Amino acid sequence: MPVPKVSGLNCPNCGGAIELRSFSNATSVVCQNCLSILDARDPNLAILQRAKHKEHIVPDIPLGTRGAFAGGTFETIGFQVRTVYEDGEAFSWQEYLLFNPYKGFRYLTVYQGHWNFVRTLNTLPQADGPKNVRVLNTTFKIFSNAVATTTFVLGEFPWMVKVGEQVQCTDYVAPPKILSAETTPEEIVWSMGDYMTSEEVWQAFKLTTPPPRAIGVFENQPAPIGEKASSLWRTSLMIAAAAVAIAFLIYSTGSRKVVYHQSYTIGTPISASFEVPGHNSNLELKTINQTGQPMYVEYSLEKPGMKPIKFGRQVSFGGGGDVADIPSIDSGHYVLNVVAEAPAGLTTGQYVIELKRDVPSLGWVFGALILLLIPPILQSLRASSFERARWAGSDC
Amino acid sequence: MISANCPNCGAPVTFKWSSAVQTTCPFCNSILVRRDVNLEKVGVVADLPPDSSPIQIGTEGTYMNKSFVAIGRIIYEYELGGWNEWHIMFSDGVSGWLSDAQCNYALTFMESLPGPVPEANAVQRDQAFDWNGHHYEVSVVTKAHYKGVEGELPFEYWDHHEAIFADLRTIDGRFGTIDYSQRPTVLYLGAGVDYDDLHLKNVRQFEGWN
Repeated sequence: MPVPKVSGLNCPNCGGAIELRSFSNATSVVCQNCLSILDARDPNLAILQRAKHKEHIVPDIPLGTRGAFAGGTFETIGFQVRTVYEDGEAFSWQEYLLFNPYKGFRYLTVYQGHWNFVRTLNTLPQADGPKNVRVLNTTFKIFSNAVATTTFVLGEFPWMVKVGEQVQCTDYVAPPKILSAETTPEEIVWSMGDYMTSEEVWQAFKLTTPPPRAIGVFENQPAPIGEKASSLWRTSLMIAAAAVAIAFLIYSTGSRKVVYHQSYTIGTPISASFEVPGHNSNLELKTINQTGQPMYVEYSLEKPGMKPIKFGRQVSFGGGGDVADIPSIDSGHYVLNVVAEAPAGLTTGQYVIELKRDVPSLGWVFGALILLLIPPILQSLRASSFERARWAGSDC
Repeated sequence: MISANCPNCGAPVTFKWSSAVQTTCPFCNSILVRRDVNLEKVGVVADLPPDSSPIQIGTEGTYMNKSFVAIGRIIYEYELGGWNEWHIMFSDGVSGWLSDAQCNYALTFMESLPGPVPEANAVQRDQAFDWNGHHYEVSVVTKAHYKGVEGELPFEYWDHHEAIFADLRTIDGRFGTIDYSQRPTVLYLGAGVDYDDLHLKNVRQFEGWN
């Protein structure tokens, strides 16, 4: 059987040449010149609807362009603009009809630089709760429900297109997938789409024009890669658990040996002499003020051949005492010179100096834990703001 | 393979499928029905309407690891388009139907009705039937015209005009059609299929696409 082709046909309205790309699948075709909608199954191309358009919209992807998509090569053969009117505002998106003579029809929808490659479903979605639906094993959340009006058409379609035609459109999302129901009195047509970026679409069609920029977050746009907070949480919590385990090990092995403990009367400088044992580690210096007043103490830790370690501290009265940590001290014989100054007039009163060797500190663990949790917390915040932006556009 | 001569033009007519009841003469387009050993001309196929099915008589494919070949078809048209019911014969002699509705494919087999169905004038969208453990819902009811036949069919089919078809779908991709064009009503059950999954060979060629 010869390939049926409607060729050499002219628009009965303006005489412009009519070309059919989907062979006898075409039911209606729009004259590219005068935008009249014609009956593609009528040998005389009877006029179905005279042009109602005020303006001629030029599709970004020219009709007749072929692109490589999942499932094969498809050619753009039809284009329509559909509009939802809401609170006096008009929201329009575009739909390209794609065709392959063996694999059939697909759709490419675009709104503000966000694309979906769509095909009709041959399974029935089932209700999943009062509003959501389930297809095979995926739950789709309802996103929008509105009446869409066809406001501009170009090219050919396997159905009767009409400017002004209205269809109830309900969208459900499970990013990166979208599920749409178009309801007419005759039937509900379900279709499923996969999100695509302008760059991916332009690459599929090998277009050289600049791809349109995406504005905002689209209803089924996948969260950017790296924003998966759950895996970050897992990693961070695992490292945190390891850090706590190491800290516990270090903490439990600290010797905490008291190398010096002596009580003094305020006023006279003292010089404590003691032996520090073991490997290089810290020395904890505790000063317990029992004078009943705050006091100021100057310390100087000395050892032959070592630069003296000098520091001063304000030591308040009572409590468990003031603790100073002197890190990285070698073993050997040390002298600690202490000058404790009391407020004027105070000449009696006791204070205690105690030195402990190898007292592990847990301060670094808390610091490490906080640092470890910052990335997942930030990611969670970022992901939730992405989801907020997505659902800000929902009317359900 | 059974051979005979067309009672109208004398051309040789062969049956690929021994159970075929009807065929068309490839030369004079007579519709021929087997009566015992003879072929009887019951009508003539008008020029088939132009269609763009990639399937043709002789197209081969596989379904569930069984090979089949297209040996006949019925063409239907309705208000918004048309479709082909390709009669296919499997290698083991089983006969099935591959429907092509603007490249939406479904493969079905004739089944006896497992339960009652509404009359043609009462069937409507959203009615449901629980058959063989599956929940079938009527997805669309189509009033179609018989537009022509070609090749071998398992029954006489040449004098039909308008008929009602109710398409059935399930949540797991099963497909069915209640066909009210015959008396009694006939049921076809199967599944929606992807073009690529049928591994078709000897398909039609389309200018600019091969």
